[in-house]
Amino acid sequence: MFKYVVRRILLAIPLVLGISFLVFGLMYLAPGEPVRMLAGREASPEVIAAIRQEWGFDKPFLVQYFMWLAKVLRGDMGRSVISQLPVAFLIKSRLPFTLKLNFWATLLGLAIAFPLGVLAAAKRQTWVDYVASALALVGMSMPGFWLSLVLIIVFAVKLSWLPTSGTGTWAHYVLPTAALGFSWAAGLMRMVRTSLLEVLKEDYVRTARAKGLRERVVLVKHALRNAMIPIVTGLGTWLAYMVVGTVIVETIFAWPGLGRLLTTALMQRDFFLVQAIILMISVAVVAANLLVDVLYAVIDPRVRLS
Amino acid sequence: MPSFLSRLVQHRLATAGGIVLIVLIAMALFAPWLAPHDPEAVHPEAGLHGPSWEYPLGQDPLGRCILSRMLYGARVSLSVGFLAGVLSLGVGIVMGSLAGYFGGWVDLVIMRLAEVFMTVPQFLLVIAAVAIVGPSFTSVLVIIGLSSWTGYARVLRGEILGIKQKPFVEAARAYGASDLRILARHVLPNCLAPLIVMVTLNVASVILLESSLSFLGFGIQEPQASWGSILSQGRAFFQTAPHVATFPGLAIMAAVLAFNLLGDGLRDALDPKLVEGE
Repeated sequence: MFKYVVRRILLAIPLVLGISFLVFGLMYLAPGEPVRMLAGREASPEVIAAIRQEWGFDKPFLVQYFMWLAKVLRGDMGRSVISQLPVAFLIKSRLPFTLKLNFWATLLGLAIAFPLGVLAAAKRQTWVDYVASALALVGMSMPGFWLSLVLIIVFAVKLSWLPTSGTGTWAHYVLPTAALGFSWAAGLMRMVRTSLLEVLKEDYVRTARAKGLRERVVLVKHALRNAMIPIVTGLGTWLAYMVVGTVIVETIFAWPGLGRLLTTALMQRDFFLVQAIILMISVAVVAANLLVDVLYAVIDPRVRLS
Repeated sequence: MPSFLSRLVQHRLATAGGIVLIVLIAMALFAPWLAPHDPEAVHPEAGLHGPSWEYPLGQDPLGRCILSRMLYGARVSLSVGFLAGVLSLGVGIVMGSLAGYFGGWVDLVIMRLAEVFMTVPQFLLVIAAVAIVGPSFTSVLVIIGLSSWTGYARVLRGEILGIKQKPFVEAARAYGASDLRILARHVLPNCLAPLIVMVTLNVASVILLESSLSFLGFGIQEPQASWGSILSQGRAFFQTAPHVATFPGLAIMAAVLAFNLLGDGLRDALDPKLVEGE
């Protein structure tokens, strides 16, 4: 087990390097020198010269990359062009809001997807299954920003039960959490249903039923546990869903998290900040995938032995 | 093939998806004849008017006809979907073939690259790249197309690995066919079925992606319309004039749902083993 985890971590290092290279290279898509992108549109020649000096933009490409990487590894990701605050500080101040929102949305998604997915698989080809599957398909096809707007129109404007935007009380959490959780739950529910159906065809399920076990025990103890492997893989895409959702939902609900920080930074062409946010989220994805791999090994002994 | 088509037609949901798509495509193609007004004609005094006989879906904040803008917007949204889908399929086929057929360090480099692209959330990569290059129809299309090839490449690589040891490939090699010919004539045609399903689902996700970008202001720019950008126009006013956001949202949902249904149907029809209830 230990060896398996260490090997996974070692394999993640070149991946993180590749990601950093891609994120650094993004700035080269801009016409002209990347330093002009990073310094902002209104930067004076002195500021540009200072940044060029500090980050080595007068040196060859690879030297620039390694100078940048060395700074990033020490936690220096530059300063915001707009507020002049260190990028790391800005991210740190916004991160808790995003984490809290994502936590509740994930919980909501799990609470919807698992019961509905299991129910749809257990009652296959009955109206329960049709309704649940239809909901999932619609949920997957609905743009997150549109769902957010509909929720605001119904619950905040027409019924005035909940605030339209901002943060502060628990009531502020309800709509963004719902908007973020629902779209993810839709995809996950389909995954739970399909993998459970796949497992329910297996011989050991027939055996369990033949033994006279109650259907609930068969479903949860025998089938669901074995269906967990594809589902855990599906959880690996959880972060990708959440990232897109967070950017959109936070922007619509004026939620002061990383997603809104990113859209404002893009709007203001504050690219040190954009770079840092993308890099940080991508590294978080690597970490999440690592966690999923370890989870696999915990659930399925075959994985860690091979 | 006939049995494949009949299975697809028998798949009722897929048929429904196909019909919705044909309607949407027809709307896009015939937009100039169907649109009741010039999509760019501005009437500021009539901004945000709700649906009426003259303006069936109402008017946007600048008083432009939402129905006309949506018909022209269908052209933009659907062509971004199709073209980016085709572009990423093309890149995916090249990358996947190289990796699967040649193996070795080519395979290693391409698969590492794919891993990097799959780890950085595509949405972030696309939104940042579009913002840096400058948002436009072309930049959105090309950047989305170039960033969604990884799924195709991985699946194709797997298929090729399974097929390149088969006797008919060895036979082709034995009579002296070139690598390119073997790949194009013998290997690829046997690997394309799973990719067809992927293209359909990919187009659905591209349409969603483009609409999200345009909604946030990093996609299609004024005065050109896409479903996402019309919605974005109405965003500031949707509490008082919800019609501006409602109709484009429904159109996006219909298109994405249709592609998803068609993709599900294609998957079932191409692989009868997967059909439920068997």
